[in-house]
Amino acid sequence: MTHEPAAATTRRLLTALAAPPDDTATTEAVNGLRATAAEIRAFLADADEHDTAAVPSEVLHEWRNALARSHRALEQTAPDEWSRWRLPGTWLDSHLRLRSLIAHEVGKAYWDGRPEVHYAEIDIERYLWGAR
Amino acid sequence: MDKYVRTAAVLRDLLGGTDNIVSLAHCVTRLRLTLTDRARVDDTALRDHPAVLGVLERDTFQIVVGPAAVTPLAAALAQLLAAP
Repeated sequence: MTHEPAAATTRRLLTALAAPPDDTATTEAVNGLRATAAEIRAFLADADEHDTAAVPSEVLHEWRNALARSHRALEQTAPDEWSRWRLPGTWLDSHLRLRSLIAHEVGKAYWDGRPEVHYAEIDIERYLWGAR
Repeated sequence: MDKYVRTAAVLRDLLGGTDNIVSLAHCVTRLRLTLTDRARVDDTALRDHPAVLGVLERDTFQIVVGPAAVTPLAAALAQLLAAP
């Protein structure tokens, strides 16, 4: 059974948002984000390979917490780097949108008592047009 | 127990307990609180809670919970804070 196109499209967009940080950004907090982004991309690649329809809510929760902690660490420990990359179109902008999107999905899953979130039901496009 | 009451009880404890919360209000997406002692907040656990979309510190201590949850959650928290 295939879940194309909506699920695959969502996974592709999530993968794009989990972009690797710029090579010139090398602070400890950025390296944490680099590891988290790589983990997310690997998970999504595996899901794509197996055409998985849903992601466990707990996995999304872990991603959200990891992104949020590294974002806070970057803002607090390397404010110049934070300011440099916190502009529209950068890898950090993508990560902030990804964190916001995931946080909303985790929240909805929590209130609805859902153990997993279907990729096809993630309204990802609204996060690519302004929300962050 | 109602999910909003259950969540409100967790948030109350993470905020330092009833006696640490001076006032409670809410806007479209956020709980807005005045706290007695900011240091009593368990920041990590609060930010990690799945119902918490974000935390902001402005004129008040603000917890982003989203438009669907904010009204019932604020009501549940107010009910807990008013309980003897």
